[in-house]
Amino acid sequence: MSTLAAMPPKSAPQHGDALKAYCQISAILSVLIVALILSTLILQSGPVLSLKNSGMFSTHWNPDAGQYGMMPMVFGSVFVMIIAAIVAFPIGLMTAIYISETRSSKLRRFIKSVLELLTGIPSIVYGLIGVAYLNIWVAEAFDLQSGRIILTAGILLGIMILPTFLTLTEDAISTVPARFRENAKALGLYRHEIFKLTILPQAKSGIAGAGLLAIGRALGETMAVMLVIGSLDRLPSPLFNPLSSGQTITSKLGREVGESAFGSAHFSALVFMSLILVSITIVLTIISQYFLSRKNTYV
Amino acid sequence: MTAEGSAPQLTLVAGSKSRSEASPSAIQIEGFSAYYGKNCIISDLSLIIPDKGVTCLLGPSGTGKSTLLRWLNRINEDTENASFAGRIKILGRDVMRDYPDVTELRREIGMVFQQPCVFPCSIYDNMLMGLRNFKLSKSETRNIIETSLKQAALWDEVANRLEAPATSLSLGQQQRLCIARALALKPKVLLFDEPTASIDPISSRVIEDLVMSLSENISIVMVTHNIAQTKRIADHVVFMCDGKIVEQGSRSHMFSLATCDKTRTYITEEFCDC
Repeated sequence: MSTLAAMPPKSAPQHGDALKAYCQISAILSVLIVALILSTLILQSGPVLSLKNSGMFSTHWNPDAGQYGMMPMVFGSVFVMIIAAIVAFPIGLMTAIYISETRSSKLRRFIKSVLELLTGIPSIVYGLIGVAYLNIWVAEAFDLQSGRIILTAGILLGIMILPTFLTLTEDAISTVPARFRENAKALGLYRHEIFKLTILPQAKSGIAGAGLLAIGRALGETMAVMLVIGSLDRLPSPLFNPLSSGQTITSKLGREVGESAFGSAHFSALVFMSLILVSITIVLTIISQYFLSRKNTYV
Repeated sequence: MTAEGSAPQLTLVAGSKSRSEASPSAIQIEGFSAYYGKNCIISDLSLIIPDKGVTCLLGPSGTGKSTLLRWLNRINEDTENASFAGRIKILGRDVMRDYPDVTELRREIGMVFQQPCVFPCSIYDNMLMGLRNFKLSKSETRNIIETSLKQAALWDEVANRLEAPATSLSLGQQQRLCIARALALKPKVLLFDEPTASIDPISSRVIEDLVMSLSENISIVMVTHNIAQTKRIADHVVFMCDGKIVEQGSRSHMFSLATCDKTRTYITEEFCDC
Protein backbone atom coordinates (compact mmCIF):
# COMPACT_ATOMS: atom_id res chain seq x y z
CA MET A 1 0.00 0.00 0.00
CA SER A 2 2.70 2.41 1.06
CA THR A 3 4.83 1.42 -1.97
CA LEU A 4 1.97 2.18 -4.35
CA ALA A 5 1.25 5.47 -2.67
CA ALA A 6 4.89 6.48 -3.06
CA MET A 7 4.84 5.81 -6.82
CA PRO A 8 3.03 8.50 -8.83
CA PRO A 9 1.60 7.20 -12.12
CA LYS A 10 4.05 7.70 -15.00
CA SER A 11 3.33 10.53 -17.45
CA ALA A 12 -0.11 11.11 -15.95
CA PRO A 13 0.32 14.89 -15.58
CA GLN A 14 1.49 15.34 -19.21
CA HIS A 15 -1.43 13.29 -20.59
CA GLY A 16 -3.82 15.08 -18.28
CA ASP A 17 -2.62 18.51 -19.41
CA ALA A 18 -2.83 17.60 -23.10
CA LEU A 19 -6.33 16.22 -22.69
CA LYS A 20 -7.42 19.29 -20.73
CA ALA A 21 -6.02 21.61 -23.41
CA TYR A 22 -7.71 19.60 -26.18
CA CYS A 23 -11.07 19.76 -24.34
CA GLN A 24 -10.68 23.49 -23.71
CA ILE A 25 -9.85 24.20 -27.37
CA SER A 26 -12.84 22.09 -28.50
CA ALA A 27 -15.16 23.95 -26.14
CA ILE A 28 -13.87 27.35 -27.24
CA LEU A 29 -14.17 26.32 -30.91
CA SER A 30 -17.80 25.25 -30.40
CA VAL A 31 -18.69 28.55 -28.78
CA LEU A 32 -16.83 30.44 -31.55
CA ILE A 33 -18.78 28.61 -34.27
CA VAL A 34 -22.10 29.55 -32.66
CA ALA A 35 -20.91 33.15 -32.19
CA LEU A 36 -19.71 33.24 -35.82
CA ILE A 37 -23.08 32.03 -37.12
CA LEU A 38 -25.01 34.54 -35.03
CA SER A 39 -22.71 37.45 -35.90
CA THR A 40 -22.86 36.55 -39.61
CA LEU A 41 -26.65 36.49 -39.48
CA ILE A 42 -26.74 39.86 -37.70
CA LEU A 43 -24.19 41.46 -40.05
CA GLN A 44 -25.83 40.10 -43.19
CA SER A 45 -29.21 41.34 -41.97
CA GLY A 46 -27.82 44.88 -42.01
CA PRO A 47 -28.73 45.89 -45.61
CA VAL A 48 -32.44 45.09 -45.25
CA LEU A 49 -32.64 46.64 -41.79
CA SER A 50 -31.09 49.87 -43.10
CA LEU A 51 -33.57 50.05 -45.99
CA LYS A 52 -36.35 52.58 -45.67
CA ASN A 53 -39.83 51.38 -46.59
CA SER A 54 -38.77 47.72 -46.80
CA GLY A 55 -42.18 46.82 -45.35
CA MET A 56 -40.79 43.97 -43.26
CA PHE A 57 -43.92 43.80 -41.11
CA SER A 58 -46.28 43.89 -44.08
CA THR A 59 -47.70 40.93 -45.98
CA HIS A 60 -46.28 41.92 -49.36
CA TRP A 61 -43.17 40.11 -50.54
CA ASN A 62 -41.79 41.42 -53.84
CA PRO A 63 -38.00 41.72 -53.97
CA ASP A 64 -38.12 43.42 -57.39
CA ALA A 65 -40.14 46.28 -55.83
CA GLY A 66 -38.01 46.34 -52.68
CA GLN A 67 -40.87 44.92 -50.57
CA TYR A 68 -39.87 42.33 -48.01
CA GLY A 69 -43.05 41.64 -46.03
CA MET A 70 -42.18 38.70 -43.80
CA MET A 71 -45.48 38.30 -41.96
CA PRO A 72 -46.87 35.48 -44.20
CA MET A 73 -43.72 33.41 -43.57
CA VAL A 74 -43.57 34.06 -39.82
CA PHE A 75 -47.29 33.38 -39.48
CA GLY A 76 -46.99 30.24 -41.68
CA SER A 77 -44.16 28.88 -39.53
CA VAL A 78 -46.11 29.40 -36.31
CA PHE A 79 -49.39 28.05 -37.78
CA VAL A 80 -47.74 24.91 -39.17
CA MET A 81 -45.96 24.42 -35.86
CA ILE A 82 -49.27 24.61 -33.96
CA ILE A 83 -50.93 22.06 -36.27
CA ALA A 84 -47.90 19.76 -35.91
CA ALA A 85 -48.15 20.03 -32.12
CA ILE A 86 -51.91 19.29 -32.21
CA VAL A 87 -51.20 16.19 -34.34
CA ALA A 88 -48.13 14.92 -32.48
CA PHE A 89 -48.69 15.71 -28.79
CA PRO A 90 -51.86 13.74 -27.95
CA ILE A 91 -50.75 10.67 -29.94
CA GLY A 92 -47.22 10.94 -28.59
CA LEU A 93 -48.32 11.34 -24.98
CA MET A 94 -50.79 8.43 -25.09
CA THR A 95 -48.27 6.15 -26.82
CA ALA A 96 -45.57 7.13 -24.34
CA ILE A 97 -47.89 6.28 -21.45
CA TYR A 98 -48.71 2.92 -23.05
CA ILE A 99 -45.06 2.07 -23.67
CA SER A 100 -43.84 3.11 -20.24
CA GLU A 101 -46.66 1.48 -18.31
CA THR A 102 -46.65 -1.78 -20.26
CA ARG A 103 -45.37 -4.80 -18.37
CA SER A 104 -43.32 -6.29 -21.16
CA SER A 105 -39.83 -4.84 -21.35
CA LYS A 106 -39.31 -6.69 -24.68
CA LEU A 107 -42.26 -4.88 -26.26
CA ARG A 108 -41.05 -1.59 -24.76
CA ARG A 109 -37.54 -2.05 -26.16
CA PHE A 110 -38.94 -3.01 -29.58
CA ILE A 111 -41.20 0.05 -29.83
CA LYS A 112 -38.43 2.35 -28.59
CA SER A 113 -35.97 0.97 -31.16
CA VAL A 114 -38.45 1.48 -33.99
CA LEU A 115 -39.11 5.04 -32.85
CA GLU A 116 -35.43 5.81 -32.60
CA LEU A 117 -35.04 4.51 -36.17
CA LEU A 118 -37.83 6.83 -37.28
CA THR A 119 -36.03 9.88 -35.85
CA GLY A 120 -33.11 9.07 -38.17
CA ILE A 121 -35.12 9.02 -41.42
CA PRO A 122 -34.10 11.98 -43.63
CA SER A 123 -36.79 14.62 -43.92
CA ILE A 124 -36.82 14.43 -47.72
CA VAL A 125 -38.20 10.88 -47.39
CA TYR A 126 -41.08 12.22 -45.32
CA GLY A 127 -41.52 14.94 -47.93
CA LEU A 128 -41.76 12.40 -50.74
CA ILE A 129 -44.35 10.40 -48.80
CA GLY A 130 -46.22 13.65 -48.22
CA VAL A 131 -46.24 14.47 -51.92
CA ALA A 132 -47.09 10.94 -53.02
CA TYR A 133 -49.85 10.10 -50.53
CA LEU A 134 -50.74 12.63 -47.81
CA ASN A 135 -51.16 15.45 -50.30
CA ILE A 136 -53.69 13.40 -52.28
CA TRP A 137 -55.56 12.09 -49.23
CA VAL A 138 -56.00 15.58 -47.82
CA ALA A 139 -57.21 16.92 -51.19
CA GLU A 140 -59.76 14.10 -51.44
CA ALA A 141 -60.86 14.42 -47.82
CA PHE A 142 -61.58 18.15 -48.10
CA ASP A 143 -62.57 18.14 -51.77
CA LEU A 144 -59.76 20.45 -52.85
CA GLN A 145 -58.01 20.83 -56.20
CA SER A 146 -54.62 20.51 -54.53
CA GLY A 147 -53.55 19.09 -51.18
CA ARG A 148 -50.48 21.35 -51.00
CA ILE A 149 -51.79 23.38 -48.11
CA ILE A 150 -50.87 24.42 -44.57
CA LEU A 151 -52.83 21.49 -43.07
CA THR A 152 -50.85 18.93 -45.07
CA ALA A 153 -47.58 20.53 -43.99
CA GLY A 154 -48.76 20.55 -40.38
CA ILE A 155 -49.81 16.90 -40.44
CA LEU A 156 -46.57 15.85 -42.11
CA LEU A 157 -44.52 17.83 -39.63
CA GLY A 158 -46.57 16.32 -36.78
CA ILE A 159 -45.66 12.85 -38.03
CA MET A 160 -42.02 13.90 -38.28
CA ILE A 161 -41.74 15.26 -34.74
CA LEU A 162 -43.79 12.44 -33.23
CA PRO A 163 -40.82 10.06 -32.63
CA THR A 164 -38.75 12.84 -31.01
CA PHE A 165 -41.59 13.89 -28.72
CA LEU A 166 -42.56 10.31 -27.97
CA THR A 167 -39.11 9.01 -27.03
CA LEU A 168 -38.34 12.03 -24.83
CA THR A 169 -41.77 11.82 -23.17
CA GLU A 170 -41.36 8.10 -22.59
CA ASP A 171 -37.96 8.79 -21.02
CA ALA A 172 -39.52 11.41 -18.74
CA ILE A 173 -42.25 8.99 -17.61
CA SER A 174 -40.10 5.91 -17.19
CA THR A 175 -37.43 7.72 -15.18
CA VAL A 176 -39.92 8.25 -12.36
CA PRO A 177 -38.68 5.66 -9.86
CA ALA A 178 -40.69 2.42 -9.70
CA ARG A 179 -41.10 2.78 -5.94
CA PHE A 180 -43.67 5.55 -6.49
CA ARG A 181 -45.82 3.20 -8.58
CA GLU A 182 -45.49 0.44 -5.97
CA ASN A 183 -46.40 2.72 -3.08
CA ALA A 184 -49.39 4.06 -4.96
CA LYS A 185 -50.50 0.51 -5.86
CA ALA A 186 -50.17 -0.52 -2.22
CA LEU A 187 -52.62 2.26 -1.33
CA GLY A 188 -55.22 0.70 -3.61
CA LEU A 189 -55.09 3.28 -6.37
CA TYR A 190 -56.22 2.38 -9.87
CA ARG A 191 -53.75 2.52 -12.74
CA HIS A 192 -55.11 5.79 -14.13
CA GLU A 193 -54.95 7.33 -10.65
CA ILE A 194 -51.38 6.17 -10.18
CA PHE A 195 -50.42 7.85 -13.42
CA LYS A 196 -52.38 11.03 -12.79
CA LEU A 197 -51.50 11.50 -9.12
CA THR A 198 -47.96 10.20 -8.82
CA ILE A 199 -46.28 9.81 -12.21
CA LEU A 200 -47.54 12.83 -14.14
CA PRO A 201 -46.65 15.45 -11.50
CA GLN A 202 -43.08 14.21 -11.55
CA ALA A 203 -42.82 13.75 -15.32
CA LYS A 204 -44.57 16.93 -16.43
CA SER A 205 -41.41 19.06 -16.63
CA GLY A 206 -39.78 16.41 -18.81
CA ILE A 207 -42.88 16.18 -21.00
CA ALA A 208 -42.98 19.98 -21.41
CA GLY A 209 -39.29 19.94 -22.34
CA ALA A 210 -39.93 17.18 -24.88
CA GLY A 211 -42.75 19.20 -26.42
CA LEU A 212 -40.67 22.35 -26.76
CA LEU A 213 -37.74 20.47 -28.24
CA ALA A 214 -40.06 18.81 -30.77
CA ILE A 215 -41.59 22.19 -31.67
CA GLY A 216 -38.07 23.52 -32.18
CA ARG A 217 -37.45 20.73 -34.65
CA ALA A 218 -40.75 21.48 -36.41
CA LEU A 219 -39.79 25.12 -36.82
CA GLY A 220 -36.47 24.28 -38.41
CA GLU A 221 -37.78 21.71 -40.88
CA THR A 222 -37.37 22.71 -44.54
CA MET A 223 -37.51 20.07 -47.24
CA ALA A 224 -40.64 18.16 -46.31
CA VAL A 225 -42.59 21.36 -45.65
CA MET A 226 -41.39 22.97 -48.87
CA LEU A 227 -42.76 20.06 -50.89
CA VAL A 228 -46.30 20.14 -49.49
CA ILE A 229 -47.16 23.65 -48.26
CA GLY A 230 -47.98 25.20 -51.62
CA SER A 231 -45.46 28.07 -51.30
CA LEU A 232 -47.84 31.03 -51.45
CA ASP A 233 -46.50 34.23 -49.88
CA ARG A 234 -49.73 35.45 -48.37
CA LEU A 235 -51.70 35.16 -45.18
CA PRO A 236 -54.55 32.63 -45.28
CA SER A 237 -58.03 34.01 -45.63
CA PRO A 238 -59.69 33.75 -43.16
CA LEU A 239 -56.52 34.01 -41.09
CA PHE A 240 -56.70 30.60 -39.39
CA ASN A 241 -57.80 28.66 -42.46
CA PRO A 242 -55.53 25.59 -42.62
CA LEU A 243 -56.93 24.63 -46.03
CA SER A 244 -55.14 27.43 -47.85
CA SER A 245 -51.63 27.32 -49.25
CA GLY A 246 -48.95 29.17 -47.35
CA GLN A 247 -45.27 29.58 -46.75
CA THR A 248 -42.94 29.06 -43.82
CA ILE A 249 -39.62 30.78 -43.17
CA THR A 250 -37.71 27.61 -43.96
CA SER A 251 -39.58 26.83 -47.18
CA LYS A 252 -39.04 30.44 -48.30
CA LEU A 253 -35.32 30.19 -47.59
CA GLY A 254 -35.13 26.85 -49.35
CA ARG A 255 -36.75 28.24 -52.48
CA GLU A 256 -35.17 31.68 -52.80
CA VAL A 257 -31.74 31.67 -51.25
CA GLY A 258 -30.22 30.26 -54.45
CA GLU A 259 -31.89 32.94 -56.56
CA SER A 260 -30.67 35.92 -54.55
CA ALA A 261 -27.33 37.66 -55.02
CA PHE A 262 -24.98 37.63 -52.03
CA GLY A 263 -25.00 41.03 -50.32
CA SER A 264 -28.24 42.16 -51.94
CA ALA A 265 -31.25 43.42 -49.98
CA HIS A 266 -33.13 40.28 -51.08
CA PHE A 267 -30.40 38.04 -49.65
CA SER A 268 -30.28 40.21 -46.52
CA ALA A 269 -34.05 39.85 -46.02
CA LEU A 270 -33.74 36.08 -46.23
CA VAL A 271 -30.88 36.12 -43.72
CA PHE A 272 -32.93 38.29 -41.39
CA MET A 273 -35.78 35.77 -41.57
CA SER A 274 -33.33 33.02 -40.65
CA LEU A 275 -32.19 35.17 -37.71
CA ILE A 276 -35.81 35.31 -36.52
CA LEU A 277 -36.01 31.53 -36.88
CA VAL A 278 -32.76 30.97 -34.98
CA SER A 279 -33.90 33.32 -32.22
CA ILE A 280 -37.20 31.45 -31.78
CA THR A 281 -35.39 28.09 -31.81
CA ILE A 282 -32.80 29.26 -29.26
CA VAL A 283 -35.52 30.54 -26.93
CA LEU A 284 -37.47 27.26 -27.27
CA THR A 285 -34.31 25.21 -26.65
CA ILE A 286 -33.40 27.22 -23.55
CA ILE A 287 -36.91 26.84 -22.13
CA SER A 288 -36.98 23.10 -22.95
CA GLN A 289 -33.54 22.59 -21.35
CA TYR A 290 -34.85 24.37 -18.25
CA PHE A 291 -37.83 22.01 -18.06
CA LEU A 292 -35.75 18.91 -18.82
CA SER A 293 -33.22 19.82 -16.13
CA ARG A 294 -36.03 20.39 -13.62
CA LYS A 295 -37.54 16.92 -14.01
CA ASN A 296 -37.44 14.76 -10.91
CA THR A 297 -35.17 17.15 -9.04
CA TYR A 298 -37.50 17.05 -6.05
CA VAL A 299 -37.59 13.26 -5.83
CA MET B 1 -66.13 -6.57 -4.86
CA THR B 2 -65.61 -2.96 -5.73
CA ALA B 3 -66.11 -1.91 -9.28
CA GLU B 4 -63.82 0.79 -10.60
CA GLY B 5 -65.35 4.19 -10.08
CA SER B 6 -67.70 3.27 -7.25
CA ALA B 7 -66.83 4.38 -3.76
CA PRO B 8 -65.96 1.67 -1.26
CA GLN B 9 -67.05 2.08 2.34
CA LEU B 10 -64.65 3.06 5.05
CA THR B 11 -65.63 2.95 8.70
CA LEU B 12 -64.53 5.98 10.62
CA VAL B 13 -63.87 4.25 13.92
CA ALA B 14 -60.88 1.97 13.87
CA GLY B 15 -62.73 -1.31 13.92
CA SER B 16 -60.83 -4.25 15.27
CA LYS B 17 -62.02 -7.62 16.36
CA SER B 18 -61.35 -8.54 19.94
CA ARG B 19 -59.05 -11.51 20.40
CA SER B 20 -62.01 -13.70 21.39
CA GLU B 21 -63.76 -12.93 18.09
CA ALA B 22 -60.63 -13.23 16.03
CA SER B 23 -60.31 -15.96 13.47
CA PRO B 24 -57.47 -18.34 14.39
CA SER B 25 -55.46 -17.46 11.33
CA ALA B 26 -55.06 -14.24 9.40
CA ILE B 27 -53.32 -15.78 6.43
CA GLN B 28 -53.34 -19.34 5.11
CA ILE B 29 -50.86 -20.26 2.42
CA GLU B 30 -51.12 -23.69 0.78
CA GLY B 31 -48.75 -25.25 -1.73
CA PHE B 32 -47.38 -21.86 -2.73
CA SER B 33 -44.65 -21.63 -5.35
CA ALA B 34 -43.36 -18.38 -6.88
CA TYR B 35 -41.44 -17.93 -10.09
CA TYR B 36 -39.61 -15.22 -12.01
CA GLY B 37 -39.70 -16.59 -15.53
CA LYS B 38 -38.53 -20.18 -15.17
CA ASN B 39 -36.65 -19.55 -11.91
CA CYS B 40 -38.44 -21.03 -8.95
CA ILE B 41 -37.96 -18.68 -6.00
CA ILE B 42 -40.31 -20.37 -3.53
CA SER B 43 -41.37 -23.99 -3.87
CA ASP B 44 -44.43 -25.63 -2.40
CA LEU B 45 -44.62 -23.53 0.75
CA SER B 46 -47.47 -23.91 3.23
CA LEU B 47 -47.85 -21.56 6.16
CA ILE B 48 -50.46 -20.32 8.59
CA ILE B 49 -49.96 -16.82 9.96
CA PRO B 50 -51.91 -16.21 13.17
CA ASP B 51 -54.37 -13.35 13.54
CA LYS B 52 -53.01 -10.27 15.34
CA GLY B 53 -49.45 -10.02 16.56
CA VAL B 54 -46.23 -9.68 14.62
CA THR B 55 -45.05 -12.51 12.41
CA CYS B 56 -41.46 -12.07 11.26
CA LEU B 57 -40.21 -13.74 8.10
CA LEU B 58 -36.54 -14.20 8.90
CA GLY B 59 -33.74 -15.50 6.74
CA PRO B 60 -30.80 -14.67 4.52
CA SER B 61 -31.15 -12.54 1.38
CA GLY B 62 -32.58 -14.20 -1.71
CA THR B 63 -34.65 -16.78 0.10
CA GLY B 64 -37.98 -15.49 -1.19
CA LYS B 65 -39.24 -13.62 1.89
CA SER B 66 -40.02 -10.41 0.04
CA THR B 67 -41.40 -12.35 -2.93
CA LEU B 68 -43.82 -14.12 -0.59
CA LEU B 69 -44.81 -10.81 1.01
CA ARG B 70 -45.35 -9.16 -2.37
CA TRP B 71 -47.74 -11.91 -3.43
CA LEU B 72 -49.91 -11.50 -0.33
CA ASN B 73 -51.35 -8.25 -1.73
CA ARG B 74 -50.57 -9.14 -5.37
CA ILE B 75 -48.14 -6.24 -5.81
CA ASN B 76 -45.95 -8.73 -7.64
CA GLU B 77 -48.48 -9.50 -10.33
CA ASP B 78 -47.43 -6.36 -12.22
CA THR B 79 -43.80 -7.46 -12.16
CA GLU B 80 -42.60 -8.80 -15.49
CA ASN B 81 -42.32 -12.62 -15.65
CA ALA B 82 -43.55 -13.04 -12.08
CA SER B 83 -46.02 -15.86 -11.51
CA PHE B 84 -47.16 -18.12 -8.72
CA ALA B 85 -48.98 -21.37 -8.06
CA GLY B 86 -50.92 -22.42 -4.98
CA ARG B 87 -53.44 -20.69 -2.82
CA ILE B 88 -53.30 -17.72 -0.46
CA LYS B 89 -56.26 -16.94 1.78
CA ILE B 90 -56.40 -13.79 3.85
CA LEU B 91 -59.08 -13.75 6.56
CA GLY B 92 -60.81 -16.56 4.71
CA ARG B 93 -60.80 -14.93 1.27
CA ASP B 94 -58.74 -16.24 -1.60
CA VAL B 95 -56.57 -13.36 -2.83
CA MET B 96 -56.91 -14.40 -6.48
CA ARG B 97 -60.49 -15.66 -6.75
CA ASP B 98 -62.27 -13.48 -4.22
CA TYR B 99 -60.72 -10.17 -5.24
CA PRO B 100 -61.48 -9.61 -8.94
CA ASP B 101 -60.71 -5.96 -8.25
CA VAL B 102 -57.16 -6.07 -6.92
CA THR B 103 -57.37 -2.53 -5.51
CA GLU B 104 -59.91 -3.76 -2.94
CA LEU B 105 -57.37 -6.35 -1.75
CA ARG B 106 -54.64 -3.73 -1.54
CA ARG B 107 -56.82 -1.44 0.57
CA GLU B 108 -57.42 -4.30 3.00
CA ILE B 109 -53.82 -5.48 3.05
CA GLY B 110 -51.58 -2.45 3.60
CA MET B 111 -47.92 -2.48 2.74
CA VAL B 112 -44.89 -0.49 3.85
CA PHE B 113 -41.69 -0.83 1.87
CA GLN B 114 -38.02 -0.84 2.76
CA GLN B 115 -37.26 2.64 1.47
CA PRO B 116 -39.49 5.44 2.77
CA CYS B 117 -41.31 6.82 -0.25
CA VAL B 118 -43.42 9.92 0.15
CA PHE B 119 -45.08 11.52 -2.84
CA PRO B 120 -43.78 14.95 -3.82
CA CYS B 121 -46.73 16.83 -2.36
CA SER B 122 -47.80 17.98 1.10
CA ILE B 123 -48.05 15.75 4.17
CA TYR B 124 -51.83 16.14 4.06
CA ASP B 125 -52.02 15.20 0.36
CA ASN B 126 -49.87 12.15 1.04
CA MET B 127 -52.37 11.06 3.67
CA LEU B 128 -55.22 11.80 1.30
CA MET B 129 -53.79 9.70 -1.52
CA GLY B 130 -55.41 6.38 -0.58
CA LEU B 131 -58.64 7.99 0.64
CA ARG B 132 -59.61 9.52 -2.69
CA ASN B 133 -61.87 6.66 -3.69
CA PHE B 134 -63.94 6.83 -0.51
CA LYS B 135 -66.95 9.10 -0.26
CA LEU B 136 -65.91 11.04 2.81
CA SER B 137 -66.78 14.51 3.99
CA LYS B 138 -63.96 16.95 4.73
CA SER B 139 -64.35 16.51 8.47
CA GLU B 140 -64.39 12.72 8.17
CA THR B 141 -61.27 12.84 6.04
CA ARG B 142 -59.55 15.11 8.52
CA ASN B 143 -60.54 12.84 11.43
CA ILE B 144 -59.14 9.78 9.68
CA ILE B 145 -55.91 11.59 8.83
CA GLU B 146 -55.51 12.82 12.41
CA THR B 147 -56.26 9.39 13.89
CA SER B 148 -53.86 7.65 11.52
CA LEU B 149 -51.07 10.14 12.18
CA LYS B 150 -51.61 9.68 15.92
CA GLN B 151 -51.51 5.88 15.51
CA ALA B 152 -48.25 6.29 13.62
CA ALA B 153 -46.86 8.50 16.43
CA LEU B 154 -46.36 11.36 13.96
CA TRP B 155 -49.22 13.72 14.81
CA ASP B 156 -47.33 15.74 17.42
CA GLU B 157 -44.51 16.39 14.97
CA VAL B 158 -46.61 17.43 11.97
CA ALA B 159 -49.91 18.72 13.37
CA ASN B 160 -49.03 22.34 12.72
CA ARG B 161 -47.45 21.80 9.30
CA LEU B 162 -49.71 19.44 7.40
CA GLU B 163 -49.34 21.57 4.28
CA ALA B 164 -45.54 21.34 4.33
CA PRO B 165 -43.90 19.16 1.67
CA ALA B 166 -43.64 15.56 2.82
CA THR B 167 -40.08 15.51 1.49
CA SER B 168 -39.11 17.99 4.21
CA LEU B 169 -39.54 15.27 6.86
CA SER B 170 -36.61 13.17 8.09
CA LEU B 171 -36.33 9.61 6.75
CA GLY B 172 -37.68 8.15 9.96
CA GLN B 173 -40.64 10.55 9.88
CA GLN B 174 -41.20 9.74 6.20
CA GLN B 175 -41.39 6.05 7.03
CA ARG B 176 -43.93 6.78 9.78
CA LEU B 177 -45.88 8.86 7.28
CA CYS B 178 -45.90 5.82 4.96
CA ILE B 179 -47.26 3.74 7.84
CA ALA B 180 -49.88 6.38 8.66
CA ARG B 181 -50.88 6.50 4.98
CA ALA B 182 -51.45 2.76 5.04
CA LEU B 183 -53.29 2.93 8.39
CA ALA B 184 -55.71 5.53 7.01
CA LEU B 185 -57.29 2.77 4.93
CA LYS B 186 -58.01 0.68 8.07
CA PRO B 187 -56.17 -2.40 6.78
CA LYS B 188 -56.88 -5.84 8.22
CA VAL B 189 -53.31 -6.95 7.65
CA LEU B 190 -50.15 -4.83 7.37
CA LEU B 191 -47.13 -6.05 5.44
CA PHE B 192 -43.71 -4.60 6.24
CA ASP B 193 -40.77 -5.24 3.94
CA GLU B 194 -37.70 -4.43 6.06
CA PRO B 195 -39.19 -1.11 7.18
CA THR B 196 -36.18 -0.08 9.25
CA ALA B 197 -33.44 -1.14 6.85
CA SER B 198 -32.73 2.36 5.57
CA ILE B 199 -33.21 4.47 8.68
CA ASP B 200 -31.15 5.25 11.77
CA PRO B 201 -31.33 3.15 14.99
CA ILE B 202 -33.34 5.72 16.97
CA SER B 203 -35.98 6.04 14.27
CA SER B 204 -35.93 2.25 13.93
CA ARG B 205 -36.75 1.91 17.61
CA VAL B 206 -39.71 4.30 17.24
CA ILE B 207 -41.01 2.22 14.34
CA GLU B 208 -40.52 -1.03 16.26
CA ASP B 209 -42.58 0.36 19.15
CA LEU B 210 -45.18 1.47 16.67
CA VAL B 211 -45.34 -1.96 15.03
CA MET B 212 -45.80 -3.62 18.41
CA SER B 213 -48.61 -1.27 19.42
CA LEU B 214 -50.37 -1.73 16.06
CA SER B 215 -50.12 -5.51 16.33
CA GLU B 216 -52.68 -5.50 19.13
CA ASN B 217 -55.36 -4.75 16.54
CA ILE B 218 -53.86 -5.67 13.19
CA SER B 219 -52.08 -8.76 11.90
CA ILE B 220 -48.57 -7.75 10.93
CA VAL B 221 -46.23 -9.69 8.67
CA MET B 222 -42.71 -8.34 8.57
CA VAL B 223 -39.71 -9.33 6.50
CA THR B 224 -36.43 -8.72 8.27
CA HIS B 225 -32.78 -9.74 8.33
CA ASN B 226 -32.34 -8.22 11.74
CA ILE B 227 -32.20 -10.93 14.38
CA ALA B 228 -32.09 -8.50 17.31
CA GLN B 229 -35.15 -6.76 15.96
CA THR B 230 -36.94 -10.08 15.57
CA LYS B 231 -36.14 -10.89 19.20
CA ARG B 232 -37.60 -7.58 20.31
CA ILE B 233 -40.86 -7.49 18.39
CA ALA B 234 -41.86 -10.85 16.95
CA ASP B 235 -44.68 -12.94 18.36
CA HIS B 236 -44.14 -15.61 15.72
CA VAL B 237 -41.04 -16.31 13.68
CA VAL B 238 -40.80 -18.07 10.34
CA PHE B 239 -37.25 -18.92 9.31
CA MET B 240 -36.83 -19.33 5.55
CA CYS B 241 -33.97 -20.59 3.48
CA ASP B 242 -33.76 -21.35 -0.27
CA GLY B 243 -37.45 -20.67 -0.82
CA LYS B 244 -38.57 -23.08 1.88
CA ILE B 245 -39.59 -22.81 5.50
CA VAL B 246 -36.88 -24.31 7.65
CA GLU B 247 -38.62 -23.83 10.99
CA GLN B 248 -41.37 -21.75 12.52
CA GLY B 249 -42.83 -21.11 15.94
CA SER B 250 -43.27 -18.61 18.69
CA ARG B 251 -40.43 -16.22 19.48
CA SER B 252 -39.52 -18.07 22.68
CA HIS B 253 -39.47 -21.37 20.84
CA MET B 254 -37.33 -20.10 17.98
CA PHE B 255 -34.77 -18.34 20.17
CA SER B 256 -34.38 -21.01 22.80
CA LEU B 257 -35.77 -24.31 21.55
CA ALA B 258 -35.12 -24.27 17.82
CA THR B 259 -34.62 -27.84 16.65
CA CYS B 260 -33.02 -27.25 13.30
CA ASP B 261 -29.27 -26.63 13.06
CA LYS B 262 -29.72 -24.05 10.30
CA THR B 263 -32.08 -22.02 12.46
CA ARG B 264 -29.86 -22.22 15.51
CA THR B 265 -26.80 -21.19 13.50
CA TYR B 266 -28.61 -18.25 11.93
CA ILE B 267 -30.27 -16.88 15.03
CA THR B 268 -27.11 -17.11 17.07
CA GLU B 269 -25.77 -14.74 14.39
CA GLU B 270 -23.17 -17.19 13.12
CA PHE B 271 -25.07 -17.20 9.81
CA CYS B 272 -25.78 -20.34 7.93
CA ASP B 273 -24.62 -21.16 4.43
CA CYS B 274 -28.11 -21.86 3.14
